[in-house]
Amino acid sequence: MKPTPILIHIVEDDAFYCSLLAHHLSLNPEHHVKKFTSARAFLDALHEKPDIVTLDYSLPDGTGDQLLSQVKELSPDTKIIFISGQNDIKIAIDLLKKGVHDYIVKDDDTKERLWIAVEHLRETIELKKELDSLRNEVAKKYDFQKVMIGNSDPIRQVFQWIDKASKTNITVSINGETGTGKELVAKSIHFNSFRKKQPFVAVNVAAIPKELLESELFGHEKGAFTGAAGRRIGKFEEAHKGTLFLDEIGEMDLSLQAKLLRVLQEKEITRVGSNQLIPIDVRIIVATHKNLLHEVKNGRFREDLYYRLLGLPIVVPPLRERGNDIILIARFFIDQFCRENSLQSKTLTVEAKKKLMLYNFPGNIRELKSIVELACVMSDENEIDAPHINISSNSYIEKMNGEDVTLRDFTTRLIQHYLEVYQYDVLKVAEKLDIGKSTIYRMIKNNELVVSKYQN
Amino acid sequence: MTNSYFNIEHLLELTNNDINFVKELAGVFCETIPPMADEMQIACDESNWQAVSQLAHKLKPSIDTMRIESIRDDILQIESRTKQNIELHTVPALVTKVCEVVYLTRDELMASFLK
Repeated sequence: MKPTPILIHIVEDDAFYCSLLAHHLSLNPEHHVKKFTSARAFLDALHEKPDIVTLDYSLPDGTGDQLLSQVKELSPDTKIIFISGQNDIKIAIDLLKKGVHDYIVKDDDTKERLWIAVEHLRETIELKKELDSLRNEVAKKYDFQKVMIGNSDPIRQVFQWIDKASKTNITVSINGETGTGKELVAKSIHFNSFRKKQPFVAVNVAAIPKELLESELFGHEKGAFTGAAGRRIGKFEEAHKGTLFLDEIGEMDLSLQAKLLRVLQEKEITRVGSNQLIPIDVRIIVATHKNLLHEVKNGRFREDLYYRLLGLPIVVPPLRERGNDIILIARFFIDQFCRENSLQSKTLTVEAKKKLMLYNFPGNIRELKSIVELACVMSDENEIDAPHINISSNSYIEKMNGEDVTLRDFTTRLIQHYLEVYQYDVLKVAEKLDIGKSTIYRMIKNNELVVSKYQN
Repeated sequence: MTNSYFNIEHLLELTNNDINFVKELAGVFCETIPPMADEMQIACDESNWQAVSQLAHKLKPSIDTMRIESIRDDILQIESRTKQNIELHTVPALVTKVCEVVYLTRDELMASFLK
C-alpha cells in the first residue's frame, strides 16, 4: 500500500519544544507538520481536519479537556495524542477514557514514544482512508441510474421507488422473479442512502440451514451449542448502522420469524447463549420471489411479521414485461463481455433482436446475460445473428414462442411441459391441468407425448 | 563538552546531526526562554507562587532538552515547592539562579550559532 501523506498539528505553547517535536516528526517525508503555540491559533486551523493532533495538556488560553471536546466535535476523525509535563496517571486514564489515543509524558523518551504512537496511528488512518475510498467506489458502482439499465415504464417506476426508499429509513420489501435483480435494487437503495458509508450485509435465508440461521443472524457466545468454539458476531451486529438485506425471506422458519419480529420491534438482539441485550441500528430490506400474502394465508409466514416487513413494497418487473429494455441490457452485456475478453465490439442483427424480443426469459436478466455471452462466443464476425442466440430451455412451451401453432399442438406441448416439470408423474400432471389421466396415457400410447420414463 | 551551559552533543543527537536545525533551535531558545524566565522572576518577586509553578513547568522541558545540567534539578525544585506550597523561602534564590543561567546559556548560544 502506498503511504498516504498525513497532516499533523502540534499544539505546544513552548515554542522551543514545539520546534523540536515538529522537526522530529518531519523526518518522515509523508508527515505534513504544522506548529501552533496557542489554542486559539490551533482552533482557527482546525477546519483543515488534521489526521493527528498532539496537544499540550496545559495551554495559556485553554485546558486540554476543553480542547479535546472541541476537536471531538469539530473534527471527529482526528486522532489525539496528549503530551504533558505531568506524570499523572489519573489524568492520563481519564483522557484515554474520553477517547484520546495516547498520553505521553515530556521526558527524554518523548520523541521516540511520539514517533511510535504516530506510526501506529498512521496504519489506522491509512486503512480508514482506503476503506472510505473503497466505499466511495462501491457507492459509485451502485449509482442505480447507471447500473440498472432500462427506459421502460415498469423499470422507471422501480427507479422512482428506489429514489424514495433511499431518502428514508423505511423497511423495503422487494418482490420479483428469480434473476430480475432484487439484490441490485437493495444495493442501489443502500448505496444511495445516508447509510452508504456503513456496511451492506446480504444474507440468503434459503442458502443457510434453518438450524444455523439463528446464530448466523444474531451471533452466538462461546459454548452456546456443540461446536461453538468462540464468540461469533451475527449479521445484525455486522450491519450495525448500515443495511441488512434478507434475501428469500419467505423461506424463513416460523419459529425464527417470531424472533426476527421481536428484534425488529425492540431494535435489540440477543446472541445465542447469552442474556445480554445488544442495541442495534439496522435498516432492513427483504426480498422474495414468493407471494408473501399467499404464504401468510397458507400459514407459512407470520401475518404480524408480514405487515412489519411490508414497508415500501417494490416489485421488480420480469424481463419479458420490459419491452425494448431487453435489447438495451443485451447490448450492455455484449459490450461488457467483449471488453473483458478483448474482443471486437459486436452488434445484434435485426433477426437476433427479434428472437430475443420474442423469448419470455424465465430466468430473466441472469438468463439474458448467459445467452448473449454465449452468442458473443459463437459469432465469428462482428455481428450476432439469430442462429447465435441459443435459447437453452428445453421447455416445449418456451420453444414455440413466435411460432404459429394449432390448439392441438399447443395442448400437446403444454402437457409435455408439465410432464417434464413433474418428473413424468402422470397423476400429478392430470391433477394440475385438470384433465383425465386416461387422456395423457392415450396421448403417450399414440406417441404424441415423449416420455423417457413414467411412473404409475 | 566542558565549561558549557548546554550539551551540544545531546542537541546534535536529538536532531540527527542537523546543524541547521540546531541553529534554528538555538534561535527559538534565545527568543522564547529568557522572556519566560523573566516572567517567572516577576511572579516570584510578587510571591505569585501559582504562576511561578506554571512557568517552571513550562521551562522544564526546554532546560531538559538543552541539558542545562546546572539548573535541571533547581527547576524541578521550584515547580515542586511552589505547587505544594512548601519551603517557599528557598524559591527566590532558586529562581534567580535559573534566570541567570538561562541568560548565560542564551549568550553562549548566540556566540556559538547566531553570530
